[in-house]
Amino acid sequence: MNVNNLFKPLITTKNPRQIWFILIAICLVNFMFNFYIGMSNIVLPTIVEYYHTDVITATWISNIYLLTLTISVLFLGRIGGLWSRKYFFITGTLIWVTASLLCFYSTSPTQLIVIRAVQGIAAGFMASVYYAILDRTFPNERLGFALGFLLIALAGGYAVGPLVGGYIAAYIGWQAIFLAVIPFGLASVIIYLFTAQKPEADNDFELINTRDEYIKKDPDASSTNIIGKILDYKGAILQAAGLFTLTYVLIVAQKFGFSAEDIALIVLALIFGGLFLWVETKQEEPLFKFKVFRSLTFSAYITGLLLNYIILYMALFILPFYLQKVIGVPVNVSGELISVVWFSAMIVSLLAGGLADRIGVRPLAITAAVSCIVATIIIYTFGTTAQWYLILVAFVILGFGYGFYQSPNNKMLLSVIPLTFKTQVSATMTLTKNLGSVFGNAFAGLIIATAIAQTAFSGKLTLTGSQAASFMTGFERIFLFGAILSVLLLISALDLDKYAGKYLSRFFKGYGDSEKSGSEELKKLYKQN
Amino acid sequence: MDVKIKYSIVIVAIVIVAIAGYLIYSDFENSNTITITGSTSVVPVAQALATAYMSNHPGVKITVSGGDSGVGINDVRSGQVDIGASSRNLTSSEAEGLSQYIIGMDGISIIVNQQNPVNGVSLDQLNGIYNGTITNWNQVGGNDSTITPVTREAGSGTRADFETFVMAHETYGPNVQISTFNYGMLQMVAVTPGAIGYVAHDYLNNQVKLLTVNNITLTQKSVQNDSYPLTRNLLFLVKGTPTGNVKDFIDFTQSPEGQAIVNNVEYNFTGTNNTYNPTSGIGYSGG
Repeated sequence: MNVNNLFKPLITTKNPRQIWFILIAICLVNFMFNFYIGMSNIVLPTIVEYYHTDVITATWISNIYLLTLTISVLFLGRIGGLWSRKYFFITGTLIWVTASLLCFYSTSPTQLIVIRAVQGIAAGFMASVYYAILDRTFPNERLGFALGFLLIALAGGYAVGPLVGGYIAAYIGWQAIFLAVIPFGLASVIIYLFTAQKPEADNDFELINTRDEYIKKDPDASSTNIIGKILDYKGAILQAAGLFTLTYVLIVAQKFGFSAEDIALIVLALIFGGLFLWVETKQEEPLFKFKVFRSLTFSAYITGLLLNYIILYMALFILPFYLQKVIGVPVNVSGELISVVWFSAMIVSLLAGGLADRIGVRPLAITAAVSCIVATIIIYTFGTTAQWYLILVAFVILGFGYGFYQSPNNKMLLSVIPLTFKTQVSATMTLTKNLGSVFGNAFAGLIIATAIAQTAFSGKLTLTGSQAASFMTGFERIFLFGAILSVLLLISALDLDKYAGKYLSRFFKGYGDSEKSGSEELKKLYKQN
Repeated sequence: MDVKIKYSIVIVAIVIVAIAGYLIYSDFENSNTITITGSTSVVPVAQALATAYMSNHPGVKITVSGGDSGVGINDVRSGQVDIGASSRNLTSSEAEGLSQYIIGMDGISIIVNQQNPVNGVSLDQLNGIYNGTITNWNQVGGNDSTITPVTREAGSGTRADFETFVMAHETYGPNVQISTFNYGMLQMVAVTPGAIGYVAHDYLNNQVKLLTVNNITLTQKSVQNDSYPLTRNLLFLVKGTPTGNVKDFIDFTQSPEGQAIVNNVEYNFTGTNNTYNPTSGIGYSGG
């Protein structure tokens, strides 16, 4: 019996509704990702006390996931494109869910760290392909809506995670959070497995064509040899080494500021980065085609994505400290207040996605950038006695800054590039968001350290007098920097091609080529945006 | 013979030797390793004892990890660890087949906000506060303000002990809030003017106010002579009768040197045991 018959789709590929099932499967996994993070942030302190482990170990329970995801995502995207994005996504989900089950049974922090490392790689399976799947599944006039729907799942997970996690930890026991996510993953697998998919979403056909050309050219070459050429192992190892070193330094620096060793590691990361660039230019089939940056719109929007995440994660890093130690709200209440940002983002994201399909991306990206500017300025003025309504207003606007930006930005990034870049860009988007969150945390940690020593407030339950004043100096610097980044975000959202394109093409040979190399269909899509 | 097969045989042989070597080595290691798991309240004491013992006995390795009293009791009963740590007394069925050693005593600290003028409560008042019959501080000699009682999460060993001493099988009042970790408890009491809560003594921080219970202040003396009402024993449990390194280590904990270490950990608190609050810096998930 053919195994494939077992998983025969229950609806036909012709059925127009099938695309919604794919969207639901992807959204369930994305909800699961953030629901899990939201819950685990709440119970990490409990885990630390339960095992009586040290701060460094505790930090790694949460950060190792980030690290393994970062280094694997580019390479995994390519394998997914060659094999089958659908099965790749499902395999990743199953590994992830199994890892979560193992976390439930783990008996030491070391075990948790090892399992979380595996889980990060499993997340790479899904995170590297789902944008490409959505892009190839949804017609351009629906893509914004789909991406908006995705953001509801993401922000929703963050919004309800802490509430549910807190409840589970209080009444059932923290171990149960690892079980609470499993149904979402399994539901996703079942829905994805038994509904039809767009075959054109399943593979990176450009990459497969390249492979076939190699086989045609040299029919005697072994398959390992050919796969080796296409997968670019050298590039994969170098980018992994570079990103590992960079992310590692940023994670370590987040809490303590930079030391001499950290700076040495940054130099090392730069060396790896340089080697990667060099190797990629020599490579026939590079892992990362830098040509993609020749599109000014793409470069501007990928920078915007990074900026948007940095602004958000700087705020998410420092606001809990501010709420708990300066304003003096209990830990759980501060978590609920932060959820306001996510709820607000969740509510506007569907609107933003739908509107992106109708009125285009730019007006929304500009609205989002302006929201970021307004939110950072309001938070900058908080002082030690901010009013409740002001805090809530600022958080809602900060949520707008994220919610209005993400789905339009993602749509722009996916539709501005030609087919040959889809796999790479899908993974790059995940990587950029990932780096944005690490940079955001690190910048906030470094900036606050310019005004007050970490040791001065980490052991304190509340800050008063001169300590509160020093903290507020650092806090204001963070949001001033946030406001500057928001202005840059605004600039990145403008029609740069219109203003600067002709000058750039005069100076840089080949500028704008990436758009020209796309298919007719994609050029049309590009014009729509 | 085919070269490939030759190579394969050599590789397999190397792997077998390596595994065998590792097993022999780890077995040798195990004979000198003492494992301890159990109550988080006992862990700081156990760690300090282990560090001191290992510095005098370089060949012995002691690993200490947390959990709760239930974990300690189950692990030692099933033979997974050499020593189980418990901060509560064992039921008769749990105690069967186990040797129990009291390595120290610990008092549960009752804490309020520093602005609170109340200096002490009785066990009956505590019971009333937590079952919801006493809801205003003026009922226990304080200002006219609402009481916010805070307890720990289900499964917490300190909560189990607190309930044994204070609640006597009664249920909590509807106004009782839950904190899932010691830092959260301390922080909530520090920032909420009407709050009252409890922590294990080694988590006590000078930013909250320690109350007397039945007019007795929590001190080393009042705990050791058992006059402080919320005093519990910190226990080491061994399956059967201890022998070898385990016996030697247990003897060390009972010696004057060992007891000095225990008292140092329990009563010379530095207030830095609660620095970890990772509720900030929310991680990115891949979504």
